[in-house]
This record gives sequence, structure tokens and C-alpha cells, in this order.
Amino acid sequence: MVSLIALSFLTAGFAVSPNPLEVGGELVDAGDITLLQGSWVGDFTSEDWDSTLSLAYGHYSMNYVPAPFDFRGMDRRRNESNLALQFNTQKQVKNNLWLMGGAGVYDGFTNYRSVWLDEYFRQQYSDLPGVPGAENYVEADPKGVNATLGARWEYKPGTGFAQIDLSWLEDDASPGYEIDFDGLRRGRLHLHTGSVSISTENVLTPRVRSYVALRSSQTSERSTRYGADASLFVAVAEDWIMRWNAGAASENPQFEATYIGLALEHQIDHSVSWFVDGRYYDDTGEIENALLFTTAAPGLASERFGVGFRWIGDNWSSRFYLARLRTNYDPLRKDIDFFQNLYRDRDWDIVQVAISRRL
Amino acid sequence: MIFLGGCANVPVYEQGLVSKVGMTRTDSMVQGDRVNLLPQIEPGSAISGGSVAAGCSVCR
Repeated sequence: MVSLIALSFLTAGFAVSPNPLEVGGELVDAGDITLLQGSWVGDFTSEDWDSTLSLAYGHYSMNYVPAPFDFRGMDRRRNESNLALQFNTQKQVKNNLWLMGGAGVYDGFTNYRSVWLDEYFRQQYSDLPGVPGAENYVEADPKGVNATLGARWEYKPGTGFAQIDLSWLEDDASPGYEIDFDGLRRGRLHLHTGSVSISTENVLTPRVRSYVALRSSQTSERSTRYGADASLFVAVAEDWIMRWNAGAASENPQFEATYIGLALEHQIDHSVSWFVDGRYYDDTGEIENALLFTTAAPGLASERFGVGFRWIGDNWSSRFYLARLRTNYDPLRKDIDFFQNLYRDRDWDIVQVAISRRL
Repeated sequence: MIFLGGCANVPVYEQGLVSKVGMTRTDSMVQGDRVNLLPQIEPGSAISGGSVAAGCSVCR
């Protein structure tokens, strides 16, 4: 996931950030699972090139608790971290055309769920003397690289932009395992992903800006995943902003996800504003075709409500955000009962702090 | 079509409101409003993949 997060520095942005240096931290905590991410982003501009270098550190800690009937499982505190480095650059090659490129690497588990599942597989399958295929178990060592090429076209001066990005990712994943009467089998260790993103941003009126992106991605041995994301920014008054965001994702044979969010921001004076936001997410659960049981998540619905403030100064700026996210999974099926403590409903507290400095 | 702005022609001097912080899409944590860790919990929010390294490779 870190590679995807890092990749988003390219795919979502239409221009290099005006803030040359930014430091941010994010904490997402549910009590038994804590996710932490810190990031540093620096912008470097020369006469011909605008470049961004970003470094992100993630840390996951959790209380692994097996299902009550898991006689091989045991409680364990698990801590993992990861590091990601990403470089992006763009160059204006014509009056209305920019070319972009980027590359990145990461090392470490990219999400808390893969850490949980890795602990489950380690407890179940790392010591199976005499079982056919026992040698298929390997210690997970997730890492990956990515590269992106893109172009941005200002098709209407100052008001209309279109962008295309082509991305390539190589992941050494934390593998999954299955066991049956034929022995232990391991899922793929190495995953290839290619993706295409087409997006457009437009100033529709003196008060309305829009953004639309369509994406497709293809990962090893999976169907193509399609996604769409749209945002509408509306200045409902001189000092009030309304932001809408909605999106969807689809992948055969059965994964569907949708989300919608709304934020209201009030500018108290020329530098300080506060905002509230809410978001609803729903999916059908992940794709599975395992033999006996599956690690795939069941269907999920979640709601998020948050409040924050933003301060924009001449040189320094900052943002603080607090939110509560409630996740509600569909009732567990029999084939997923082993992961009832991973896929249980939780209340997540979210804290974000970011500071930027214009050099 | 409304998102594509095919008929829009807003001169730069009238773009003061749409250029304010909070009115533009950005990856900046200060100026934007994205929760970077959210796709871990809501897999359909990820911009691509979804279970690329989510431990779900056994599922396919």
C-alpha cells in the first residue's frame, strides 16, 4: 500500500505543491491496532524541472488474537514498520504541455492486515514437520518498486487540464497459504501491477472547480480493477467552501465499492479556517476462491466524521484534523471464522498533523 | 459533462475563489484533506490494486 500511497503523489496532482517543505504525521488507532505514518516532502524547482522528493515511515502495532477454536494460535504483540522513498519530476515541454516521470521504492509490510495474516500463517504453517509442501513456507519480506510516466495538457488556458499516467509496480508480497490433503501451498510471492489513469480538472464557473479521474489496474492473476473518483469544489460564499467527493471501484467477479464524502470549510479570517467532514464507504467484500477457508475480507460499510482547522501563513502553514471512523463488517462466513478478530467491527480514532514551510 | 467544463470560459481574474486553499485538489497534507492510511481499512479507496500486498494473494 505504501507504494500506492507514494504513487498517488503523481497520479492525483496537477501541479507541484507550492509548499517547498512539508512534514506530516497520521495516527489511526482502534485500541488493539495502531497505525502510524510520518512523511517528509520536499519540492525542488529549477529553471526547467519541478521535482518532489518524499520519504514516508510507517509503523503498525497490534495485539494478535487468534479465534477461540484455533488450537495452534496464541496471543502475540506484533510490531512492524516500513519505509518508502519516492521521486517525481515534471518538465514543461510546450506552452500547454508537461511531461512527468517518477520512481519509488519501499521496504516493509504495507498494511496492518498483511501483518495480521502473516502472523496467522507463521503460527499455522512455519512448523509442519512431515507435511507435504512444508518447505513452501517462507518468512515474508515485502518490498517493491514503482515507476510512472505521464503527461498533462492544459487544453483550455487556465481552466481546463487533462492528464494521463501510466504506472508500473513490482511487489514482493507477503504470501498467502492454503493447506488441504495435498499439503501446503503458497500464493504468489511476486506481483506485477500495471495501471492507467486519465483525469481532468476544470474551472466550471468563478465558484466551482471539478476533478474527475478514471483508472484501471491489472495485477498478477487477477481481473482488471476499474475505479472512478470525482470531486466538486464549490465556493458557496466568500468565506464558505463545500467539497464533494465520490468514487467507485469494481473488479470481477464480485468486488464492488462505493464512497461519498462532504466537507464544509469556513474561513474565519485571511489565514485561519475550520472544517467538518463526513464520509460513507461500502463494499461487497473481497474476491475469494480459496479451497477451505479464505483471508478475503467480508463486505464492509464504514462512516467517518471529523473536524479540523487550517492555518495558512506567509511562510509557515499547518493543519490539524481529528476524526472517528466506524467500521461494520458483514456477518462472517464459516470459511472466514479464523479471522474473526481481524475482521471485527471497530471504532478508529484518526489524528492528522501537518506543518509546511515556504523557503 | 458538467465535470468536463466544455462550455466554461472563466478568465483568470475571476478565479480568485476557485484558487483558494481548500478549493484545489492537492497531495499536500496541509492544503488537502486526504487520510493516507484510509485505504488500508477501506480497500476500495485505493487508487489501484487493492490486495496487491494485502495478504490476499491466496485468494486468487
